[in-house]
Amino acid sequence: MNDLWPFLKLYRQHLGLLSLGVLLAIVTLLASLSLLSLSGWFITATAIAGLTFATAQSFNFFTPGAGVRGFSIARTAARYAERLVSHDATFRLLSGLRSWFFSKLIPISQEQLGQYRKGELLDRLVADIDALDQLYLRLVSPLLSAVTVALLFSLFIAFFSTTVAMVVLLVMMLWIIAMPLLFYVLGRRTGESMGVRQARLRQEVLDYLQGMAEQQIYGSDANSRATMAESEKKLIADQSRMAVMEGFGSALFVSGSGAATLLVLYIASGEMSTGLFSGPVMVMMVFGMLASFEALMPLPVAFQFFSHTRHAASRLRQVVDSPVVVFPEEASAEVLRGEVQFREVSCCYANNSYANTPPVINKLSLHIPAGCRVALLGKTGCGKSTLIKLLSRGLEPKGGVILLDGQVIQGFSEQALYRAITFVPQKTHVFSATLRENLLLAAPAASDDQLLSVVQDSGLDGLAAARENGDELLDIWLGQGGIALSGGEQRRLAIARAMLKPAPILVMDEPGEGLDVQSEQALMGTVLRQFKDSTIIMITHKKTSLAKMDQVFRMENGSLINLR
Amino acid sequence: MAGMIYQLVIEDATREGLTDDFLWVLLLVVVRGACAWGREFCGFRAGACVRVAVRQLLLDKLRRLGPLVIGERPAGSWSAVVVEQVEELQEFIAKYLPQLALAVMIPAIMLVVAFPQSWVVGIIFLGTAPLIPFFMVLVGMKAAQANRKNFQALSRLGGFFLDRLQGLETLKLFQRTRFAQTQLADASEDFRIKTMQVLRLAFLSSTVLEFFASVSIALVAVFLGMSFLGHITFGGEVTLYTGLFLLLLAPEYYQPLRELGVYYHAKAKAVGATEEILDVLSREEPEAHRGGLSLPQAMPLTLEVKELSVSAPTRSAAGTESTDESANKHHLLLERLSFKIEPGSRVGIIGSSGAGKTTLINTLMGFCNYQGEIKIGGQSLADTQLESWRNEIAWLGQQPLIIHGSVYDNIVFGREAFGQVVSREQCLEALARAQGMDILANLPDGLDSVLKEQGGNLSVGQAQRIALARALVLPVRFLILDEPTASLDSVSERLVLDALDAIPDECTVITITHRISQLNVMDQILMLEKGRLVADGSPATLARESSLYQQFIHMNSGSMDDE
Repeated sequence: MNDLWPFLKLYRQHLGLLSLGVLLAIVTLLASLSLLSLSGWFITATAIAGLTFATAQSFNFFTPGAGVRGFSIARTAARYAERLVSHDATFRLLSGLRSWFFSKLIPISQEQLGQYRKGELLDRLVADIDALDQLYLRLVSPLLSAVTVALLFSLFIAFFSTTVAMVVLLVMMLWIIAMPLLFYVLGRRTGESMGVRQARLRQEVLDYLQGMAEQQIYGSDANSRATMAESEKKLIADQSRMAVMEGFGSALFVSGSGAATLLVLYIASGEMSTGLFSGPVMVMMVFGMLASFEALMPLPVAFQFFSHTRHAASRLRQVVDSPVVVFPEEASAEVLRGEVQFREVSCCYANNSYANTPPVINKLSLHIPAGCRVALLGKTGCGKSTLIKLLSRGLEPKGGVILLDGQVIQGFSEQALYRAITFVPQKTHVFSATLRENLLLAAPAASDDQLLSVVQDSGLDGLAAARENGDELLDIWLGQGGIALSGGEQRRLAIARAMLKPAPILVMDEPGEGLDVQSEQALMGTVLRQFKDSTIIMITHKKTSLAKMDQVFRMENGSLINLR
Repeated sequence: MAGMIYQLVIEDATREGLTDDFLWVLLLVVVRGACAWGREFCGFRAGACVRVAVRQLLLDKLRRLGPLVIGERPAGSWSAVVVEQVEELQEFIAKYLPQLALAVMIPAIMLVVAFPQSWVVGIIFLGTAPLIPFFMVLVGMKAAQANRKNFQALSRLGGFFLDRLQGLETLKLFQRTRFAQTQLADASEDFRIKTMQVLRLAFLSSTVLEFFASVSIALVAVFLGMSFLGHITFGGEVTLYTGLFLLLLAPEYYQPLRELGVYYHAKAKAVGATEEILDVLSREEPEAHRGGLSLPQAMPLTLEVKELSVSAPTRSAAGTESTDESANKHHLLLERLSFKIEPGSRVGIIGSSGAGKTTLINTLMGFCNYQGEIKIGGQSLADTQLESWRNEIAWLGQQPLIIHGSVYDNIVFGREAFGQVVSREQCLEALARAQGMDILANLPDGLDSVLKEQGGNLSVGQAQRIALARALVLPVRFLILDEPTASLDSVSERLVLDALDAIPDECTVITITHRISQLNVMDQILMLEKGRLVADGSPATLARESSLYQQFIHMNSGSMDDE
């Protein structure tokens, strides 16, 4: 339950709507129950009254007749309202959950977040959030209404007979307590293993598809297929166990409601023979018992999947509780000149590889005066990108300090830091949005003319060929559901964004990747003109633009060698 | 049960006298439960069978489509279709379809039972019966449509959320996280308002159904009560037994149809999933390779290419069918290439990115459609059984593939299933030739150490050497390498290059490379530009005679990688 608590707390915001939903659910159930028991009472009472002419004439059928009609309309109306309200509440919850999760992720350090970006983990987190918004519809609302209906119904019966009332309460409470427990226990292990096995199958399919070329060349296709078929069989075996349980739940429900009704009939007919109440009342009790099981129906399934929900919650908690990057709260100094200093900075990744990895950066010192242009060269994996992560505070150094304008980097507020540095990251995220929105990201206030001139300068106008009839260039949809950009175009987009955000420091990670030599030179020329007064740190493994740099360093084994 | 109540209330029977009836009803109740169980289970089995079959179809299709088509989208999006989308079919088959049949059959059976009891109640049931198909259509179309829209909107919203999560780092760098959060909240709110409008309508149609169920109970109760009291005289004699029986029947009459509504989301999901599945299944396959001949075993194989062209559809926005004539015109990735590769030679393929180098080797490996002629040992590739040709090839790409499994599994790569026995000694030997023995030293269980997927616990250089061992473990006559050292540091690169030097002379090695330093050891260089072969010859000849080659050397000697 501990894992679920923070999520249940989110419910507070919509407490009114959620309570209304539960209330309406209860009204629906009670109207339904009343309709059937009143009808039963009515028929039996009229049948008895109809035996003699006198009682038949004096029988007041208006009140119960109106009641029957009233309940039937109340049931319909309440059900409609309940569905509207509960769905509305669920959407609000979902939106709240997502905002909440997003806001929790923002301060988490890049190093932590990086591990979630890998693979399909992010998809799973999104699915986990969706699982949680079902908590109300599937669990909270049914449980609350079942308990209320059980209490109210047995209270009503108690007016006629405490014995029958006790039996009804006992049966319903037993159901409310035992069924969730039983199905939670039954569903737990299989539920967990089902999740693991589905993930396993997904991984195997992913391996198979990613390695399709190798599979076909080495002829190991059939073997992989056999492995997948085996995993699928195991998954289906688990699901089959789940389905058997679900079937068991509905069997229990069908048999349980029948048996409980029969039990009430047995007890109530005994009570009736002592003259405690009349025949019609007995029929009312029996029909009421039959109808009240509607309230108990959703419980077994809800708890069968409870462990799934709980795991979703605990996975999310784990993410949300990751260490965060702390920026000073109060307004800090601004970086104006753009001087960058690394003093004996060391850094290593906390990864779980077998091999003991040496520190990625080892006591590195570097002084970049304001306005100086520095290139860092080196092979893949030599720690160049780590240096950039240190500057964006995506990673904290293990030792040493980083100074901007002579002040430690940790002293700057988040706004001040990102105002000071414009980044061209190694990987460009292309948002599923228009080109305009993808650029506005960097300069929310920029006009279309400004954007178009940047598009021109960065060479993104080549995208015009891909636009559909009549579309404005800036309205081209990129990313998911739109045009997939090539590696080179992604670099151009990243650089276009950077050009929209002037800053005293510009940091670029492999800006020329995926571009041919001429395009790279042209693009770098534009960028350097734009940032002519800024300090520039460029990481590259190409020599194309080195002539334009003031200083060139080569990085090897975590330290720097001055080449120029 | 109605009979028991009748006896207890009207005929003053005692419950002791009805013990047999109680036991019979109890038995029926248990049987009914067992049937419900059976229904659930049978439905599940049916769904499981369909899923297994559809998954087979998809995997077969993807295998035929080959790595190039798969490479068009992230592998995750394909696996989502194969795994998750196929799962979406389950509820539709297991629950929705049986329920659809029940929604028609059960009311029919009830009518047959109700009429002999009381024709008036039968008429009440029947009178609302024509409404059932009417509401089936209404609910079926309106609600399904609404649900589908709702479902689509929800998945779009999910996609939006995922996209922003993936781009969180970028948002942070530009200080736009708050804005994205507001955007997200706005999108959710917008979605809620629109969906609620749709749902109001969708719920209304099922509410009308609900209303009829309620009204029929009320109507039956009132009619029976009036008959008992003598206020209604038509409809013949009814007893309390008949009355209770019919009253118990009334809610059941509409129940199956009401339950059907519960499974509409299953249908909407299945429809969405089916669209994606069909999208994959209807894709065009490479068709050029349908031959059945085997390659000659003994003789050395010359590779001869004549007038080879490969075309590709031009890029258009995903999901939109371009009707534009010019957009549909296939543009050429390779244009009329002709060259010859002698057995045992070392061949380098060079050219700037996008020149068609990778397309060329993919075509040689049989992954794309082509025009023109490829001859291996004098036999046309189009007439050759693809398996027999691929038996002669080993391949190493830019990104080493590491599957979840042990080092041994990664080297053998499933080949033992085809009668090719690979011993542990052979594996070790291949790993030694791939300069990879030092990797084992760092692993806890030697060859049996489990590697994480995507080589999570290996460096790229280590992973590449394991992939190389995979290529070397069984003798082949062609080794095809696509920038095998592109993602390696200098030490790993040296190791991989040393390993490549040790390849037997009779094996033809075709390498795509950017590294000038690797060119001089080649026997033959093929230089591509914009899909055309612009230079073909030994490095020495080209350095003298081809200005394009000289230019290429000049441009690329600027790379750090060659220092």
